[in-house]
Amino acid sequence: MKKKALSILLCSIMAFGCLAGCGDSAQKKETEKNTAETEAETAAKEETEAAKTKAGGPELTLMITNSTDPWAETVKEMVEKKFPDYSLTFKNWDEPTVEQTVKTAFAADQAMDVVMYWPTYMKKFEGTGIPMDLTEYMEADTEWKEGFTDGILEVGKTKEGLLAIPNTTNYPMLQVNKKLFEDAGVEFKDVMTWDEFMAACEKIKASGKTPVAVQQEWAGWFVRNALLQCWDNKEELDSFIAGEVPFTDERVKNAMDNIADMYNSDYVYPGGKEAVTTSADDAMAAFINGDAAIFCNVVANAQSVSEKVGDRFELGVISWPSMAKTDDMNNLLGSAGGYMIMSNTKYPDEAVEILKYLTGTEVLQAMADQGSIVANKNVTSDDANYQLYSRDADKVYPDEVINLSSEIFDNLVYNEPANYLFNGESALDELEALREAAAAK
Amino acid sequence: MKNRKKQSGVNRKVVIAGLFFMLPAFVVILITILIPLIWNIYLSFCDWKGGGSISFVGMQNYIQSFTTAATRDAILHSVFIGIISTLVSVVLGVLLALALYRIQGRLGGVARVIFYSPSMMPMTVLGLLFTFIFAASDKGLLNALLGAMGLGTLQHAWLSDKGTVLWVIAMIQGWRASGTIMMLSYTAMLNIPHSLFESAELEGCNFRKKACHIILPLIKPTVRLALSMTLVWAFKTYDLVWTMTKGGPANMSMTAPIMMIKTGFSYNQYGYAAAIGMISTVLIGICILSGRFILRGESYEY
Repeated sequence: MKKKALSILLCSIMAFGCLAGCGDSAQKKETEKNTAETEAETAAKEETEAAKTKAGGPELTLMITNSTDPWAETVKEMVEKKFPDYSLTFKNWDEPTVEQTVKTAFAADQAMDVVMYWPTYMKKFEGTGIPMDLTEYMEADTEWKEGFTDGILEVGKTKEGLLAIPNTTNYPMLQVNKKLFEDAGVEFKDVMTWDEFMAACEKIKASGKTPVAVQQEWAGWFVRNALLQCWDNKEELDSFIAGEVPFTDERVKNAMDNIADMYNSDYVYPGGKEAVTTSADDAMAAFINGDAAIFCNVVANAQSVSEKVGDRFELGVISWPSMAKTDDMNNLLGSAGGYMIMSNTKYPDEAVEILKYLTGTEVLQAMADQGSIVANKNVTSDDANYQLYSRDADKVYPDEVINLSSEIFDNLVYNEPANYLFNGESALDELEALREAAAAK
Repeated sequence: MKNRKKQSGVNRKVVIAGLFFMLPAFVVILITILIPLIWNIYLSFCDWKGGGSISFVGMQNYIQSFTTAATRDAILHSVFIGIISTLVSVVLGVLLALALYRIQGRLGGVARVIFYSPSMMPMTVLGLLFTFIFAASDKGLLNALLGAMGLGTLQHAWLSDKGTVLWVIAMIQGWRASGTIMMLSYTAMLNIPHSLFESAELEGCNFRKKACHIILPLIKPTVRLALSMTLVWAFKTYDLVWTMTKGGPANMSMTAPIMMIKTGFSYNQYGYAAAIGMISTVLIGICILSGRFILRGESYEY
């Protein structure tokens, strides 16, 4: 009898536990039933308003700073101070996982209201419905629109509209150890052709040092930049970017061979083909410790590397070496940093307000003061380094072949030049198959 | 007759109560495994960008999986890592268990903790640790050790060479899982009646003979179970590969799970990613069945 009573009790507890989980949704269903007569739009508005009052202000999630950015804390504090009535949650932005985070959140109907993402690469989100079209907001605010550097807004546009707003311009450059250049008998020049660069590497290597240090994630810049410069004129380049010229073209092959020569000649730290797997820390350590003479960097990080080097040696800045046959083809790869708003945000107007502030003069001036090259006409800087780092901004070409498809993007950004070094011309066949697939779409 | 009827009534009540108690677990499995699995099967026949409409494309995703070299290679890499690491973990795990069984006592206890510790470490920590060990040039611990021993010719770029990178990953994965296999096998060994060993000793058997003729045949069901478990773990290898090589360089260590995530989240091809997942699931099933077939045989009761 006791056993029976105990088993009934246990079963009841378990059934209660199961039903308790469903209780909330049952209750919700009841509420929904009662409000069924209300129009859908009104209901959504009420829900938004209810959420606002509940937390004392709109609740927004922002993924706008990476903890390693020198300006991260400043920008966060500025936004918090500017919008004291908003309930803001800051999530750290992480490059390798940002896409997964955004897409997973969208699938779960959770919004990261403002997300840092490259306007240049917004084609990766085409067809997903994730980014909100900001065209109307931009057209309605002339002051906001006119603040941007001429033409920069174009980079965030796709056939689905203006999907992201740029805040910075970023492109690669070389920081060099002038002492190692001097020891190796290399003349320091602001701009080098590819042949001059290779000759300098040979001299540095002969002096017992490693010429170049580049982290694996950035090794693809050599390839991407070469693919912007190896053509005879801009029309040919544009045809290539539009997917009309095959990757098996002789000029592409020559450009890849030039880069392969650099690796095969042991010019890249630590030498040999394994140089394509050098970590960011190892590359940085090799440069700061004086083992490598040239450090491949981006302008956004130039200031922080300069601070790390300190008084160890005199730093110089060289433009990315050029494979261009003529000056007008000395293009530079680059991207605009920026932000997008997810289309499932409950607070589109508030998110746009934050976006306007993030891309406005006040925040961008603060970022420029910390070394970033910003996309705003009203921002000025007397800092000599700012002038130095921003000198190649006009060389940045607005489009790249990586935008043809996500697969080509992935292959060129993360797999090259490793794929060409290890697999030779079959790497170009692989890229060609991807180009054909993209063209077919 | 009446007694049997009464007994069958009791049995039915026990079964119903049992089913009732299983209900919460079943609901959890339904929500977290069965529904996603069915959704995944459906998705593998569709084209979906993660937003917007879903369109049915038939077998196209499966055909694409088999005809695209990168995807095919990623699946084969997973199979390679799965098989090699399972072999390493089972052989090493059983050998360690035999050694522990032989040692026993306090020293055995200490050894048990030491050998089991890799299984307790997070994969990402292990991945980072081994990245330093297998780093190229003299910076890597292994290469530095080889250099110090005068074996400079054996120094190697372990993680950026087609011939070594998958072996290194498989060995680490196998070594990590060997601790769990060791514990399972050791526990199974402890259940073997001592009388069997006493009889063997009277016949003049040494430990090697006892291991071959008594221990290994009797723990075979446990080894079979361990084999299935490790195969599933090894096939799913994601974190170790991601921490050590991110699937590179040049996709030479790309595995099916990383390819699935890339295909889904970077290329917006969720249907194709689902198809890769389904192919991997079928391959895991085939490998498990093959492994169990190889280890088939009589089960002994004792």
